[in-house]
Order: sequence, then structure tokens, then C-alpha cells
Amino acid sequence: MKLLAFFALVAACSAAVGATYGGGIAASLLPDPGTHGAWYASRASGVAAYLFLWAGLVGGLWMSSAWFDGVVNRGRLLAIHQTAGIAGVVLGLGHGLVLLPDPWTHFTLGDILIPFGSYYKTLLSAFGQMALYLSAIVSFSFWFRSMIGTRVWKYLHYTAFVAYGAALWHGLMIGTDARALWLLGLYLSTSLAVVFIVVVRITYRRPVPQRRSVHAARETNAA
Amino acid sequence: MATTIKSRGVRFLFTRVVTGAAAAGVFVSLWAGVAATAAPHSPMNANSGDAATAANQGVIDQDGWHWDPASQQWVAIAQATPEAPAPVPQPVIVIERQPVYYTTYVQQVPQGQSSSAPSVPADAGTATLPSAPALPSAPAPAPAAPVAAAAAAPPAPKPAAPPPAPRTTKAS
Repeated sequence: MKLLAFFALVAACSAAVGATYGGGIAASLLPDPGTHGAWYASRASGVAAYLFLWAGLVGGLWMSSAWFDGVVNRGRLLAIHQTAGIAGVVLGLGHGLVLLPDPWTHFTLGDILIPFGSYYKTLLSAFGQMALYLSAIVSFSFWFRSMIGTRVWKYLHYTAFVAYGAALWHGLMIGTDARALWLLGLYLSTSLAVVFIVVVRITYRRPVPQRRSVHAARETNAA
Repeated sequence: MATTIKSRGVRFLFTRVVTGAAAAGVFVSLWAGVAATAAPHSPMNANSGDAATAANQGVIDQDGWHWDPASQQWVAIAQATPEAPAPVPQPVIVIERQPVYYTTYVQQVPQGQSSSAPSVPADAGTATLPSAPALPSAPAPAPAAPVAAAAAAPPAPKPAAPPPAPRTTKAS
């Protein structure tokens, strides 16, 4: 838990430093970003956030379906599922915060963090903000499972679909690279994968193990 | 669950670290890719695919400005195409609404008349002003001038502010 928080903090700090000095220190690692370093970082982190939110969603669906049993160790899959979700949230937060030092756009902290508070395409930006907050709630609800109960935790996890859909719509409608073929292909393939796994999840439930009754067990032992 | 974590530590720590590192790697790779392929144009205008294509080709005309890829700056379209004929200046019709003036003056009533109404001057019905002597403070009315001369004369200078409208009291 502490290590995870540490890694998340390191990732957030790295994103912030990379954004702030996108045109300076990080520029030496990148091919001439010029004065648009923060903007490029925002676009990149947006796509990366979508990818890892998708990975978290798919990992959760994969875990809950028996169809994939034996492919990946469940404990390892849980680790990937949790870390991918948190990475998606961190990247999504960075996707917005990186725009603060960008000289072209003039987003304030309120524009970025408050849903429906953005001056630029308010509704479509709000889709991204809602996706971020819902993903954060779902991702961090794991540590509050005992507090909120399994039933609430489970229903809370259903909002991951809403978050994924909002992130996809946000990226499709106002993403700068949304019309690029490679990104359209990425959106299409990831969406199809989600649909496929949801169908598998619904139609192929994990069989409940049959418990032998105490009476039957005694009879077996007596025989 | 918390006790389990405390006793065993973070399970699959290496997997978690690798996943986090993969996130950072994907981000940096995408950043480099975007920076390498991005065109020099405003990010807010980059939503349009046509604009992006045009930027790649170096052809952008917007709001009377043309993007010159050679000098990497915006130049006015008229300046960018000097062979184009200069625009012919068109006449401009200006319509100004001039204020209407009312001159107020005090007329001395001759003694012996009981009515307060002024007597009708002899030249009533013409355009001349009444010949009552004006008070020293009131401006003297301008003498009537021929129409041709009035048309040729320059317009009177406009006052700094229009005179206030006369206040009317409501009869109860």
C-alpha cells in the first residue's frame, strides 16, 4: 500500500516535472518539441490514460470471468488490474494539469478540475473530467472495500463502464489526434475488446463450486 | 486485508512496478511521437483534420492572413500576393442625425393687454422669427439666409452635449 502510494507519487511528480520543463530538460530527450512541449505531453498522456483505464477495465472483466482462468495467475492479474487503473488516473490527472503551463491554451485550475468549468468545449471537456473522477473512485475503492461493503463496492465498479465510455467520447470528440488512423484503430480495437469480454463475462460465468453437505460427507466416511 | 498486506508485503510488487513503468514508457513514447509528427500550428486549431492537412502542406489561409511556411509566420493575404490589383476605394455614405434646436426667449407684453398670449405679428405665416428684442443672455436668432447660401455654408458645429429635454409636469 505504502509502496503503491510512493510509486503513484513518483509518477505524478515525474509528469509534473516533465510538463513544467517540457521545453527545457525533457526537450533534450525529445525531437524538438519547441514551445509546445506541454501541449504534446497533454496529448500523449491523454492517450496513455485512455489505454491504461482500458487495461484496468479489461483486467477486471478478465478476472471476473472463468473463461480466462489459467491464462494469467489471478493474483498477478489483480496486481495488473489495480496498477493499470491507478496509472490511468495519474496519467489522466497529468493530462489536464500539464495544460497549466502551456502558453497556447489558457486553462486555469478550475477549468481543468471542475466539471463543466472549462471554457473550451465545456460539455465534451466535462466527459473527460467525469471519466477521471469516476475512475479515481473505482480505482481507490479497493482499499475501502471493507468499509463500504462488497455490494456497494461491486455497484461502484459498474461505473467503470461509464468512465470508460466518457473517456472514449472525450477522446473521440475533442482529441487532437482523434482523426489519425492509428488512434481511430486503437479506439476501435479497444472498444471491440471491451464488448467481447463483456459478452464473455455475461455468458460464461464462473461455476460455483458444489459443496458437499455434512450429512453426505459422514455417509461417505462411514462407507 | 490490511493485515494480510502488512504481513506479506505488497503482493506481485514486481508486476506492479513493471505495469507502472510501462505506463511511464507509453507516455514518454507517445510524447516523443506526438512531438516528432506535430505540425507547427496552434493546438486549438488542430482539431480540424483539414487544418492539420493544410498545415502539413504549408497552406493556411485564415481571416485574411496567410501562413508562410518559409518565414514561419503569418502575413496578410494582400501582402502575400502583391500581383493582385489594389482594391478600388468605394464611396461611403454617412447619415448623421442632427439635433433639433428649440430657442426659448422671454417676450415683453405691452402694457394694457389683459391677455397673456402674445399678439400675432403682422408677418405671421412666414418663416421669419418674431421680432421681439432678445434678452442679453439669450442668443440672438440668426438672420434668415437665402437657401443657396445656407446650403453652401458649412454646418454649425455640434454642441458637446444635446440640450436637455424640457421637463413636463403631469396635470393632476
